[in-house]
Amino acid sequence: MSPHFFTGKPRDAESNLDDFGARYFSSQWGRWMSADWTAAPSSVPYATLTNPQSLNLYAYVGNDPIDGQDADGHAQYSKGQNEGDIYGSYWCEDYGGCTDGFSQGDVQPSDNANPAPSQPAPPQDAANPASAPKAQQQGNGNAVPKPDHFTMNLNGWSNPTGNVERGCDAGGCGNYGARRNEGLGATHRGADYLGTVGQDVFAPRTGLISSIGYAYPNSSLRMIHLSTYDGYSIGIGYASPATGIHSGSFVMSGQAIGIMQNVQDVVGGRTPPHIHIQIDFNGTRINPEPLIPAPSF
Amino acid sequence: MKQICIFLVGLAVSCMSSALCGAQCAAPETIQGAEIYNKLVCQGVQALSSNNQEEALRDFLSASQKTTLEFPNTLLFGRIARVYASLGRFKEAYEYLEYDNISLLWSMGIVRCRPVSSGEQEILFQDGILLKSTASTHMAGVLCGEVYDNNAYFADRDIESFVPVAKAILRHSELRREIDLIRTKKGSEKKKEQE
Repeated sequence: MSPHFFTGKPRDAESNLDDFGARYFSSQWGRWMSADWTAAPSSVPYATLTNPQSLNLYAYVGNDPIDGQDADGHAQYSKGQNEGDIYGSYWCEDYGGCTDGFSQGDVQPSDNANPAPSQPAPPQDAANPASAPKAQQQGNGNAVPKPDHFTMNLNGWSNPTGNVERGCDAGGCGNYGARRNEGLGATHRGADYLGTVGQDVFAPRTGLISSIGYAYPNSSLRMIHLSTYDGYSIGIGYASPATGIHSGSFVMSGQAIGIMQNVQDVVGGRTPPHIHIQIDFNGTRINPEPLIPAPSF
Repeated sequence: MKQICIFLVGLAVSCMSSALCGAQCAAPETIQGAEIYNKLVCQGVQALSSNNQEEALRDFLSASQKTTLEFPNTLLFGRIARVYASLGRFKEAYEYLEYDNISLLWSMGIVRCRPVSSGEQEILFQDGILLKSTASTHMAGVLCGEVYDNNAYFADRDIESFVPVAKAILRHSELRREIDLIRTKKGSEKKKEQE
């Protein structure tokens, strides 16, 4: 097999990294293993200050590997992304509209420059589709309509169902830390989000699908596991994998990865349909609530 | 206003009388919100009260096969052990008693789930040692669901919240003693019959 893969660069068999000369690229994580650099002093090497994507020193070709190419490990070139082109919306306009599932203006300023926060980051505006770039909302002579669908978000958190957190009902409460069955006092170590059976379930964060299993032994309820580049391990329960989603799939925050299952088939009609999210950060279970953005109705 | 209050009080009373809004009976083995499981448990309890042990056993075993959300349906194992004992089936009685024992050890964090190697199905460990008994292997299939968290019983808890666990341990000890007694009694009855 050729040692040259998608990037066209030789892959080191031991580290599994692609050698671009200036730095190494991880095909598995879709990012550089070190920040970009220049020989001459520069505050943000090879960045175009009008392009927030270029400020991310770990992102490969502005997070557009389909259209972009990198020759030496420094390039930020992407199709249609010349100086002055800020968001994907311009690419859509220039190239006849977006038909590949990406919505206009969906590329957000990055938080990748701090890849491994010591504490879980609070929800960011960038993670909330409601706070899309101003260029998109206000227009500048090229008015772009507000998307009528979920927008993909490369670097932030997304709401997995586009709905609110489950409150308390006959089946208990959906919040993190809720008590499960006082008889033995287990604690709910996840958060539940309401939705409709059969609806799309979205990746809460960009990462790799690490495995797809079952939430419970001998049960039809599935659990999709997502690992992020910055140390989060996310379990999304009660969603069957969408077509094309399998272990090893690279998915972006906000991308539809599953289909919501019916918990009522399993436990009865008193518990409303919902999905269960559990998040570990560097191996420790954390509360998902501060991370998951509110729905944008 | 008065009518609304009467309605709310009536609703609360009817809710309590229908066994804690979701469970159909007040059996300690019921689990909040697990409607299908609870229905079978309560059918079993009703069958027991009619002294129909076989039917009760069928219902309890069916219930133990049902999924409940975010809380394993392990509370029933002691009950099943007790019914097996009254039917004189002690092999099964002690087997289910052992399931109950492992469930308690799991809920106390003494026994934990983890995969033998990365990506493999989880199994039970105690003090870093893999538990290989038939009962442990069986219980790994009950307790090691991906939604369950090994620390769910200890996270953010106060001393008071350990009381139900302590009660469950006492209940298990009493049950073991009771099953031992039934076994001795049945054994001596059998001996008398043979004499």
